[in-house]
Amino acid sequence: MARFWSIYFMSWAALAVALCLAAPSLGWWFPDTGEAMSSIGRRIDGLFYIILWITSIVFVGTQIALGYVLWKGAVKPAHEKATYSHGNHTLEVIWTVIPGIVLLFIAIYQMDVWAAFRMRNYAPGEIEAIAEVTARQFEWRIRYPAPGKPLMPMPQPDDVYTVNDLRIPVGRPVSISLRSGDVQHSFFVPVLRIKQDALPGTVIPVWFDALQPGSYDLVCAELCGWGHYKMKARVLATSEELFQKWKQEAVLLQADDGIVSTNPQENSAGDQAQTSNP
Amino acid sequence: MPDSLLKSMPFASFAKTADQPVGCGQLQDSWHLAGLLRPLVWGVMLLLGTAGCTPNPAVEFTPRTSTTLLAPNARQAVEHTLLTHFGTPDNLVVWDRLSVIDFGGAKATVESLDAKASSSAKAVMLVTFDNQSHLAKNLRVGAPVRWVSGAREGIQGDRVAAFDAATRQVSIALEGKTSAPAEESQEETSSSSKPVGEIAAGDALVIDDGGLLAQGRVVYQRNCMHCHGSTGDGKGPTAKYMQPPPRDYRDGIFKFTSTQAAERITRDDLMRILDDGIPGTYMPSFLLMDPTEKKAVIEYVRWLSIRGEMEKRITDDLGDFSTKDLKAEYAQGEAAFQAALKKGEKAEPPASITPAVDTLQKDFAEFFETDYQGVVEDTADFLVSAWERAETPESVITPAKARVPDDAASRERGRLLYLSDKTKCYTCHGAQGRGDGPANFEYWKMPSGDGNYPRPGLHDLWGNLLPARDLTRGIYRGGRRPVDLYRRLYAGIKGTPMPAFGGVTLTDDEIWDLVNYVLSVEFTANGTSLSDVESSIKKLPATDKVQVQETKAEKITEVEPAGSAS
Repeated sequence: MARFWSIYFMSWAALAVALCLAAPSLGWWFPDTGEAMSSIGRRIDGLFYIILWITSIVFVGTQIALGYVLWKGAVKPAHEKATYSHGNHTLEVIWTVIPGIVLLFIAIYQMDVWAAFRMRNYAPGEIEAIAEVTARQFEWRIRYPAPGKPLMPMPQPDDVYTVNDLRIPVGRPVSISLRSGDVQHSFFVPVLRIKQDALPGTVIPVWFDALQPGSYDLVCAELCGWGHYKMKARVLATSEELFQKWKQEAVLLQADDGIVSTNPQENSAGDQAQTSNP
Repeated sequence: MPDSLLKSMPFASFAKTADQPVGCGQLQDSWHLAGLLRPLVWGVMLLLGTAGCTPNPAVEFTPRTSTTLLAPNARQAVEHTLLTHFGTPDNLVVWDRLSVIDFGGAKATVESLDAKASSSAKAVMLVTFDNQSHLAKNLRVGAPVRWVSGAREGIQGDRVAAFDAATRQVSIALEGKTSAPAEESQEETSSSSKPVGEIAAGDALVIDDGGLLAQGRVVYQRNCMHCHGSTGDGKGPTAKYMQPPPRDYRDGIFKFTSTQAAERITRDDLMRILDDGIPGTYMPSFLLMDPTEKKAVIEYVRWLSIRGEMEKRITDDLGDFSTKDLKAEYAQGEAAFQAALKKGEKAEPPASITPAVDTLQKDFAEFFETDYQGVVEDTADFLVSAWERAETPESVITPAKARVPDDAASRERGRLLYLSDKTKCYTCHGAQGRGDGPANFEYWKMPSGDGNYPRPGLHDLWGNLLPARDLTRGIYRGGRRPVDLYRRLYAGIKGTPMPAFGGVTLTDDEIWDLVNYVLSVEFTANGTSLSDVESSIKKLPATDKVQVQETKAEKITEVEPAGSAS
């Protein structure tokens, strides 16, 4: 019976490891291909995998040790008493210092990515914002400056508006001014590994890039009310030319006075961009 | 306490074990186990049951208050009419009369019957589809079949058993029964269905009839119901947390349309609202919803709106049979009686209204025999033509002239119009467009004729307090394109005090001047120089003078910029 319990406890650890190994093929992993689609996202993934490896090794090691002890205890004759020992100074120093070194390594190693994301590559506000994204219950309202103009903090007469549809040019870092119209929201693009809370009363610059054209899900990652789940939007990354072309078309559509036929329907500009960039 | 009740209560088993004398081993054992498990099960069930906030709302169409106030038999008639022509959310009815609704489904004609493969339970045939609808390509197995002509017409319950899109070969399971079992033909109908041989080439059928509507219902219940309610009455479970409240579209009235003042909303308008949402309200954007789902839900909303308006119009027509006044009178009498009793005075309770209601019922029974069907038919005719007309190009407002160039002179002309007595914009939206005009602080009469609204301020048709829009905020609920604002000014905003200026009061150029001004208010107000505001206030009296002179000269379109600007 003692052997049963040692096998039983070990089987759970084995199952956990097996499930982790199978997770990517079961779709329990990062969305889409599993690969980050932004440059900083790939570095963040690198950190993630290093920590995953370290923790995996520690987990497997400790589980094997635990299993060994359980099994040995199980096969011991019943009359044999366990030895009682009070502490082992050397052992305690070892199991304190080694994790300490590992933690210190992680703490120092991650600083570079953090610095690149927050300071070194682009300090806040260093890149000109391409759009103001206002999260509100329960949608994303987006304001772009007119073609060839910078984004102003206050709305301008020639601004271009979209809702739930953030267009960005691909292949270069872009920045948005993130605001909230009401409560706390969080701007989360899983595939680009970008997540930033939107706080009422503040304008937060957020930079990111998309390495490939495509449509990426933009969701709210802060429970913001009963309609939280409705805040589904997209980040549509297209080539610079298509982005500019779309903007020109959007300007025309927004100036629609019902006479001059701006013929393509509201969404066709987007659909074209989408089909040409699958 | 009866034993059965005791058993059904949590922890009851504990009480049992304590009371039970020890002795019967087996019984004791089972009680012991139950004593452990029962509280646990009850606890889990209690947790599951009380998790979340409120129970799910019932999926049903609820009647209007005015319908419930009808004499009982009149109410029954109205509800029966709605039930037969619209059904319930779980059992939608395709009503052929509503040609304005795309119910979905593929219309087809039998080309030839494969007699060899067919049996009494299954008919295999080649069909031709009337049009290459998307449904014709992927008909789902189990989709209902409705026979429009031929021997099986009127038989309900047949289903698609198999479908091959390449060969257009359909196999239909003949599970149907005649819907109305006529007594004289009982022998025939009792054998459930007629033999397959009676299906002949040329028979017309509709496959998956009402499929689009049913899909719309699913989308609606998932995304819209919690605010707009199953009936479309704007009373879903989350509605009470919202300001402004969700639209009740049972009146057939939507605020932000592209159509003339008297016309219904178009499909394109609804699609636009779905895509863009309504800024400044809780209506979010559904831009990324699947296009076929959007189409389906728009059709369902139109259908709900027609259903609601049908009920409203019929009920209004039956106003003579309403017990509203009787009940109000009785309630008054009862209140007076109770008050008198409290004071210790002698008083008589109010007379029962039952005899009066009985008279109403009798009257309605007569009315039902002679006129009721006519009322239903007329209402249906009216609604079909109204919703049909909305989709025609004539009903959509298209400016006759292109937008007047958006320059300072045009905005100034617009500003003068805004402040003039011709438009009276300022009485609601305020002299500076802040939505603080005097009308927002006055008491207004209720359209029902029951005196004033209890609160001061403008109200919409649904009885909600509706402050005039603050134009300085740059939030345009009906869209911010110039054409959107043009349409708001031209046809007004339906169901609200915002009047229609188009055609009569203002010319095209004047509307465009106003549009240019309104679009500029946001920036002049926020960008702000106080002197701008001051100067505009100083100009107020002068403005009126200019306006009077112009109306005398009947020269409305040209305002002298020198008179007021710069």
